[in-house]
Amino acid sequence: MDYLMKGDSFMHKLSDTEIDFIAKKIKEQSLKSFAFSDELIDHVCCRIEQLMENGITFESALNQSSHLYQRNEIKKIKKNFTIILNYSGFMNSLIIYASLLFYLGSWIFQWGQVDWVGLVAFVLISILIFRYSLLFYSDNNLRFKKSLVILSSVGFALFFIACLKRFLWLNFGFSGKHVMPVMLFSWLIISITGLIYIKALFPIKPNRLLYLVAIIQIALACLSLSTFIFPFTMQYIPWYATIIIIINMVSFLFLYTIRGKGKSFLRLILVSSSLIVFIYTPHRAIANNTNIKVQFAIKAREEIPGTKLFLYLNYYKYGKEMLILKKIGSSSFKSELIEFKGGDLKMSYVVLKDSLNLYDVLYDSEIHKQKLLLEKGDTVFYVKYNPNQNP
Amino acid sequence: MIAKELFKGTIRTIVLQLLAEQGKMYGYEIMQMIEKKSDGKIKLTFGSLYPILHKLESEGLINSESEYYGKRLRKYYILTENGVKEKESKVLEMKEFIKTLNGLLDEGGLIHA
Repeated sequence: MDYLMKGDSFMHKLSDTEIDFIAKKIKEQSLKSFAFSDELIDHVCCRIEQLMENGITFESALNQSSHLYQRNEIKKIKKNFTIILNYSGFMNSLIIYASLLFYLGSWIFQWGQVDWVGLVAFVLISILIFRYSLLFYSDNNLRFKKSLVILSSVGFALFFIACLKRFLWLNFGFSGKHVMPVMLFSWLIISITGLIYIKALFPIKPNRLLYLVAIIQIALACLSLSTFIFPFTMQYIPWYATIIIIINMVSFLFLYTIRGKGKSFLRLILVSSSLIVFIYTPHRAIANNTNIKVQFAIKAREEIPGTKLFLYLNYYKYGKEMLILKKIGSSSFKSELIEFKGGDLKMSYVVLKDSLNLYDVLYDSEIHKQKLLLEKGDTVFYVKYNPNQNP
Repeated sequence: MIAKELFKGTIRTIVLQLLAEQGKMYGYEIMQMIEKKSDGKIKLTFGSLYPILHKLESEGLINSESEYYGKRLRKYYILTENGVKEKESKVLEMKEFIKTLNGLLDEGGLIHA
């Protein structure tokens, strides 16, 4: 066997007609175009030239090289390319960053009544989870393949259903029942998938921090789910959300310092959990005036125990603010006059303390947009809440 | 011939090392060089080498340049700065691994361990 040395070409160089013939043969076998077609043509040409060096005719050399471009061989190579490249591929990163951008876009800007932009962010993440399910399924060398395929498929199904339900709930007044528990449960499932996937790829000892990222996500998902089991923990949701976002940001930055295919899936978990956590900012109100002085007032239909309530405002540009609403009647509460300097009040949501009943009510998944409204009066925003109103 | 399973995890490092030695190379050339240097004991296929080259490229460890060679397009691969660093650490790691293996597999190595 003659080997090709650095800088060498084979003495025999194929003619343009012969190259065209080889390219045509490869295209016939592959049916669809593929990323490595030029390299395969060059590779087959090199092989044929090498065989022809030893005195074999073109037809015979082509025949001897035909195994390189048989349909099954090309399929196998395509699969190999998909597995190797997609685990940490450009496309995965693109989907993750696009999703983040879309979600930030939906959060910062007003896009009209229906939040299609936010929906795109969630759907992109769903697609990526599904993509991983397919990759796990097609990778025959993967450890724990069966568990990974099942868990990622379940995680995808739950996340996708929950994100669609959330969209219909917030934008079209459909029932929001079970949206949050399902979404948080999908986060838990995806985090467990992440841990198993890391285990399938790397030993524990030199990759402790990678394992730690996955385990922390499982713990945070459990913590978030616990708010449905222990209603009194709901008062800490803003704290939980802040802590989760900080941990996610640190973990995200940490993943930049390491190489390898496992981090792409972990990044997906971090982004999906951040999106889920931001769900706690869904109720929007618009105050387009600048330098406005407003008061917030709440009047519930039933009597509210306690002497004060807290209104937790989240408005773009000026951050978050907690307002105390003082009792002015058996079921009415009012804040002091506050000033918004130059900014638009984009959204607000309500966290009510000192009343367990109201935690239950306001964080109940049955709440519809129609039941909780923020309406602007001259100088007062009225948080109207009517649990008995039909959507 | 060495079984594919044995050298599967080492191809990345071998490719990086070759590119560091030779500069710019194309796929078939890399395959030939590996086969020659290993006295025909390591034989790669198109399906095992090219996905690795593309992955190294996606990780920013190598760059590619396409040039026409006659009527066909040929893709050459070159190490990047990150690739040089990665090569150095991976080669060291592999040498250490080989040393450990030798220690284990030399006569009595496993008994003393």
